[in-house]
Amino acid sequence: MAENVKKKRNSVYASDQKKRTAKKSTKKQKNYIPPDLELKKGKVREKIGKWFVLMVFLTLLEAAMDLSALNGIAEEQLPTVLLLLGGYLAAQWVYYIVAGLMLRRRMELEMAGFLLSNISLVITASVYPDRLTTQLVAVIGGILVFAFLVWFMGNVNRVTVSRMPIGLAAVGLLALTLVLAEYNNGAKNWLYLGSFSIQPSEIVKVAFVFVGAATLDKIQNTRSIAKYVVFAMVCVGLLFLMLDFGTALIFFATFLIIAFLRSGDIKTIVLICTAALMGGVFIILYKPYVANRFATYRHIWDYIDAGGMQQTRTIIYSLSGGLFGVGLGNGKLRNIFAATEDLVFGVVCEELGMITAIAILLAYVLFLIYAIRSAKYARSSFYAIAACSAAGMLLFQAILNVFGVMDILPFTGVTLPFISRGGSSMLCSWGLLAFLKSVDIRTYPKVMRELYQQKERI
Amino acid sequence: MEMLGAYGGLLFRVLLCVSILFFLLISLLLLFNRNYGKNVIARFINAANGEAVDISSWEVSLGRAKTCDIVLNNPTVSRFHAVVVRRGKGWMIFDTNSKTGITVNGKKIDKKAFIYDGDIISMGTSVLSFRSPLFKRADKKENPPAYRDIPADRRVVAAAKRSSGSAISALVNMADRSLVLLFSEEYIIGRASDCDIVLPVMTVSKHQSRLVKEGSVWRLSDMNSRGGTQLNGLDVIGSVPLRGGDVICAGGIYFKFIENYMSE
Repeated sequence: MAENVKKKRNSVYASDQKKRTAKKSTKKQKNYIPPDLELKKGKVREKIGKWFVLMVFLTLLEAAMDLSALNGIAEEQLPTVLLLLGGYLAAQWVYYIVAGLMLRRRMELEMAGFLLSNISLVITASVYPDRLTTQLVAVIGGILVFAFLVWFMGNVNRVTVSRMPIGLAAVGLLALTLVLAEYNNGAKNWLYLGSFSIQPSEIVKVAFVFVGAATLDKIQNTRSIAKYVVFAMVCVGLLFLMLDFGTALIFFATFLIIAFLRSGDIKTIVLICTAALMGGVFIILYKPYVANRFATYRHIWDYIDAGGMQQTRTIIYSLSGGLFGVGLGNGKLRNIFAATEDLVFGVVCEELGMITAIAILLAYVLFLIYAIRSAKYARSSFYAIAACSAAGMLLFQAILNVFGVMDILPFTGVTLPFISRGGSSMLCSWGLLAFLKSVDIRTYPKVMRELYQQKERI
Repeated sequence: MEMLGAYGGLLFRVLLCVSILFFLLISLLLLFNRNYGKNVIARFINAANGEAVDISSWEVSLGRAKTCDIVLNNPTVSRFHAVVVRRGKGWMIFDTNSKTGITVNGKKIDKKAFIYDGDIISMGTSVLSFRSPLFKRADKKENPPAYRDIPADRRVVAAAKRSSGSAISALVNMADRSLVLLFSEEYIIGRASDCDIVLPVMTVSKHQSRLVKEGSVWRLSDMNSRGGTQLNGLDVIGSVPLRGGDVICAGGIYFKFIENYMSE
């Protein structure tokens, strides 16, 4: 009898427990759909409200910038400039309708990229209105490269299979440049293909990050890192032979980031740095023409009208802009050689103000913080390494450019990502941004859906 | 611009600067708005102690090194033994140059293999059961549903017991309570890779000791090892019969002998 009662009590307890757990699970299900997602027809989707508001705000902001860029442009060029800048606004909306509304993707990185590219476009429109078409084509090409890379990196298998061919193609492209290119501003880094020219080292930057990042099973394999070390040495060596020291330095810094992320060992990094320093000393001792490239470093005020002209003018004019700038078209720095490429930071400071310049630098810093923060949520160590090294590369290049024109670091003539005029540079910046986009699993709704399905059952 | 006047122009520039800063900050800070929490997508259950290890990332490294995601504190496991990743059609396990290799459901794998819900993975002497409900094995033979409710390691024993019709003995590594089930008739313990129980530790000789089943009794003998083999603290000379609860020391690694694993 007692046994019976016990059994009954147990069964009652069990059923009660079942009910309770059932209730709990349904409650959980409701809770774990985050507030900015919705579950419709079994699909996890982004809500679209805030992206639309941001897009409208972005369009108004860019339209205001475009209008202020018309100041000082010759009458006969006005219609084409207006058409091109309007075309860029339209292109952004096309992207938003496809990616944001139809595919329900998040838009924050793209929006930041849109705004940064627009700054580059208005500066180009204001200084060289006749070269605006090329720049617009470069920006739209960059957005297409971005979209392609984000799609391409959706599948981990596709990525692992294609790393080797991409690495070989990158080395081949650099070698081809070394053979075919001619000296231009002291470096041999331009390839002329008929009427248009490209800078292959910019395109190889994307490949360098792509080949450097690897999945965890490859990282634990010692042979894989040896292959990458050879690849990095060949790339940096070829850039040295082209006398493109700025890009070589960017590649080396990215190599350090990747080596650290792959090995997790700071001692190795110290060893690499020591070896590189010794190599650098040897090069300067035995190849004096390398040192001559940096003769004006820390002495720009001694050569105000000679070697230090670009930097002294940048420092003077960027200060005259003040916090809010003198307005587009009213600056003086625009008349100096390479104003929209290497010295573009000075033009931004002078014409758009220190606040805009700091906002741009803040964007690079936020890219890196975001990459580091999202690394632990990444699907694979490939995405984590790629995002951190791509963001590191963008920030390092920006530092090299900004501190270069300010004479804090040697002036190497690298571009400011997204802001400088130049097709290859723009393509590279958008390509690197794709790594930041793909680290986030929210970019891939299929992956998100599976995550939630799995959580329901386990 | 001219029609705005001096103050209007300044106001315009101030607004432009501030809204560029504002927009960049808003759009990039939205990136950090991540309230998704941890999602458990698979689970390992350690057969030795029943401990469950949740997996919330798509790539997990297993090994003895402290930097691994799942640390298996067992001398028979390599420092970086294996990587388990979620790829395309399911979960995969990669052997990353380990010394003792990986077996999935008793079969040794070559470099990589797919693993499914309920699979038993052994690395050295540590046994793990893998759970991920979305990915089930297509052929049911390898994963009999009748055994679903019993713990993974016992399921293997039950299957083996049915086929052999006798009790299954086991060795328990006393350092981490990992388990070696003694299915066949003879086991050689040592550092060399051709041993049945590989202990890649320098204090263990290449061929340290030998376990042989004679009838229903397991007998232990030393194989001229450097440090010798000890049973309950005494050196083993010749071959010695084992009883349940005996403690075997092979080159500084202690095992407890269990005569009938299912009954304990």
